[in-house]
Amino acid sequence: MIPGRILMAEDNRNDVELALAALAEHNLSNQVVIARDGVEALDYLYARGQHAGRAPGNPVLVLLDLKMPKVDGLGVLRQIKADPALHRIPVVMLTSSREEQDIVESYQFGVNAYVVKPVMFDNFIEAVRRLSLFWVLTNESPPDHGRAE
Amino acid sequence: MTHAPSANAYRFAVARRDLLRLAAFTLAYTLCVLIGRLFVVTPNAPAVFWPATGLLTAALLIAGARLRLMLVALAALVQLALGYAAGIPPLSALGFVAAAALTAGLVCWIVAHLLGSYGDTRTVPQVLTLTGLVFAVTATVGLLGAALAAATFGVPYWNAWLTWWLADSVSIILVVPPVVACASLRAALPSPRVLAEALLLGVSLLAASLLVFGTAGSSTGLVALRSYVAFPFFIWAVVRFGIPGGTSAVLAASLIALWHTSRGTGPFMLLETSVERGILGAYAFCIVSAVSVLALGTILNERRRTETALRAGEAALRDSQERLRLALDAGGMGTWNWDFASDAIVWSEHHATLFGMRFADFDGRYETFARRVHPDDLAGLVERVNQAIAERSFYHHEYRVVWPDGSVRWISARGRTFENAAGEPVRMAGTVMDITARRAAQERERALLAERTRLLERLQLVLESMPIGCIIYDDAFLISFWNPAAERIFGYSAAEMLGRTPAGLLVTPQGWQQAAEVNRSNRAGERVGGITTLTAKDGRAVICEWQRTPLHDADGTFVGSLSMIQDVTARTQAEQEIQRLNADLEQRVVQRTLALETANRDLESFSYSVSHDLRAPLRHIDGFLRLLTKREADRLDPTSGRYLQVIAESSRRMGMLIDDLLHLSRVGRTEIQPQPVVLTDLVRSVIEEVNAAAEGRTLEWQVGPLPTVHADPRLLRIALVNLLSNAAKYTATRAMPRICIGALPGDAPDATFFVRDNGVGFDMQYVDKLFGVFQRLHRDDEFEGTGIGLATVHRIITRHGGYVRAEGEVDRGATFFVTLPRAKEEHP
Repeated sequence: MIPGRILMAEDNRNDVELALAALAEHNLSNQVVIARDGVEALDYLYARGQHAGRAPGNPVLVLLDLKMPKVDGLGVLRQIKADPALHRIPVVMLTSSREEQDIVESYQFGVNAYVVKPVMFDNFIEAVRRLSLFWVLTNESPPDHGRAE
Repeated sequence: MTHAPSANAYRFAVARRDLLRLAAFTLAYTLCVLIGRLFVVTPNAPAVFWPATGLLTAALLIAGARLRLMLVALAALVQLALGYAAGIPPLSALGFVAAAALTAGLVCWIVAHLLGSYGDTRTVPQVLTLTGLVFAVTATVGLLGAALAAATFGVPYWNAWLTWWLADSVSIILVVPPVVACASLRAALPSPRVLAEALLLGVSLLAASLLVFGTAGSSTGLVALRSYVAFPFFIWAVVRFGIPGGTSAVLAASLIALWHTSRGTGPFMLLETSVERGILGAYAFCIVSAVSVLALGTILNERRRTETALRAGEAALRDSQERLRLALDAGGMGTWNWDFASDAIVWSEHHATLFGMRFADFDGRYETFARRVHPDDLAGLVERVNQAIAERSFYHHEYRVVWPDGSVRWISARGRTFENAAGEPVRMAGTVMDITARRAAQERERALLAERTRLLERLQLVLESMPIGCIIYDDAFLISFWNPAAERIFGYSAAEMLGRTPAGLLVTPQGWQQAAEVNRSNRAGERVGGITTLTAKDGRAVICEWQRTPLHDADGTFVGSLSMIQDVTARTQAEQEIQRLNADLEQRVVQRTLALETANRDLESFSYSVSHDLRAPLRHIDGFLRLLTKREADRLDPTSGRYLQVIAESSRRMGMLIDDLLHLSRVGRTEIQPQPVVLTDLVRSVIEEVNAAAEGRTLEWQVGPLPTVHADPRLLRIALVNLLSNAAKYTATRAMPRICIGALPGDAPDATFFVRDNGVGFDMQYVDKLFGVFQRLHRDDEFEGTGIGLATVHRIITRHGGYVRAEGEVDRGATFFVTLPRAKEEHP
């Protein structure tokens, strides 16, 4: 089975690097597409803007940070879950916020998982490993009907 | 109409009775003249007994003044007629009649003056006086008669005078008493027994008289004494038949005696005595008999009258005593009499009853009486009695008596003092009456009056001292009462306001309409109240809360109204001030709330930033440190390696600090949703968590019975995790770490449970630092920690309305006590 593409929306360069390092340990880093804000993430999903002309198909997993410029994580989540073409994509919040309010809102918009970024790198690596293992390797993705639909 | 015939009949009856009387008199007079003629002893001399004079005297006495002249005229006619037949010259006959009429008239006049018109003798002296006077009158008139007789018959003058005198005297004395007495008798038929006795008396007297006076005289003077045989019969007659009977008997016996004597026989005709001498003895007998019988009859009459009067008096006395007793009984009165000389008191039967005693039990001694008198009243009683005796005044006193059974009665006593001829007091007598009921009624009335007076005084006091203005208006809306409070409120004194109308003073022209409406409502019987601004004397506006109540008299007639007034000016102003302040306060609260809400939002966003933004750099430090260490592991010297390790450790600690701070902040902000929490279950679950975090250490847990508390389970769980982790942490140095969780006994509304460990404990002098944020009692290298855990516990428990405290000793462990409200289920 070919690992699916992972869309990671994260504005912080350090976080991106650490996440990639963590994913690299599981040989998943090459499957990751990075979006530096919400708009870019949505551009990718809709294959427009700088991502126009990308290879077709939906990512198997979307990792969203909550706080991002332009459109934040919740905004992206809402659009994904509101779009019939996208709403089956598993979305995981990967964030520093442990705020109840953020968690509640995320689940209200239909997030599939909410993961607080551990401060300790070892724990972070472990969390990322579990995430990828579950959502990318273990979980059976919904059938991709492509953009033609 | 019916009167006239009867009046005529009466007049006719009277006239007929007079005619009958006159006829009877004429007949009797004729008879008397004829009888008198029989007693002419010496021819051509006056008769020795001339009953006609006596009859005329008696007739004049009996007849009224109307008939007297007629009687004299009839007597003259009879005398003339009979004289003519006997050859007596008419002039002489008229002279004799005139002399007889003169004698009779004089005697009548004397009797009327001496005895009264009817001539009823009352005393013996009267009898004797009358007799004497009769003798005097006949003697005097006889002077005239004797001259007439001497001239007519040619007899010696003095002989004629003597015969005339004695014959008329005896005639009057013998005839007048029985005739007058019999005429005064009531014409009732006597009983057969009396008639029989009268008959027996008459026959025996007649027989005795004939025997005594009819037999021939003897030679001795003592024969005259035979005449006394008649006396027992006289006495019989006068005793049994009174003066009429007695004098009639004397008349009868005397007629026989005189007749026989005049015929020369009988006891008075002594030897060798002439008829003239003998007749004098008979006269003596007649006069003595007549006077004696009359005197005896008078005496008997007198005694009979006295006895009758005495009997009538006794009956009247008995009657009045009976009536007095009835009156006393009816009035519930008893009587008493106190004789001073013997010092004896006599009570009536009812008196004893009033003193609660039996009549027989009162011994008449003053001490016995005094013992019954109430001790408090005795002195006053004695004083009044002494005063009454000293002043001879009427005595009236009211005092109490104590009955033998102990009950107390009120007695009203009245009396007076009686004195002897020398004016010394000898006795006191009077009445007693039970007035207990009256006294009780008076007492009640007095108490009622006192109570009413007291109430009125109190009412007056209340009206004058109450802080509420009180004004009474009469039915013309003029002020009739104005209390001091009203003076204070309005500044007008009572003197200024009484009798005036409040219009123009208190009530403004605008308010007059309202006052008139209130008056109308009052008259309709309604009570009205309200708040009105009135004007005080100094022009100040007074806001008054008032109530006007209509007043009615006993008949329900409207007589005015009572106005109660309270000055609420200050209160109204204060209320307005309060309203203003309240509005102000609300405004401020809104502002503050707004500010607070803003601050809360700021804090929230701050916490959010901290949780999100503060952790990111830390994560990066740690992340890249790991990457660096991994990459350069072989090339790092030991010192550099240690430096990197310290950096990693520091960032980890900072991460913990941030997490705990966030925790604490969330605990402070989260809304508490309390519900019953079964502490035993919660503790068990937390122990599992703590065991899991203890990484292989063996902890001994001892859990006792725990209460069910009223708390937010999520927050309570955080607190328990902190407490139990704390205990686990500080027992780390112990070989046998032991943690006890239990509850204090009791069933107060608040439950207290504790967590006790056998760890390192703490010094009690730092106990107040235990629950402060970042306050730590141990160095970092001894026990890891942020100093926020117990602060979190404290905040959670405090926010539940409970409290937490700690006890500890260095190296001897620590105990944390938590007090929370019990779940309601535990408190039926």
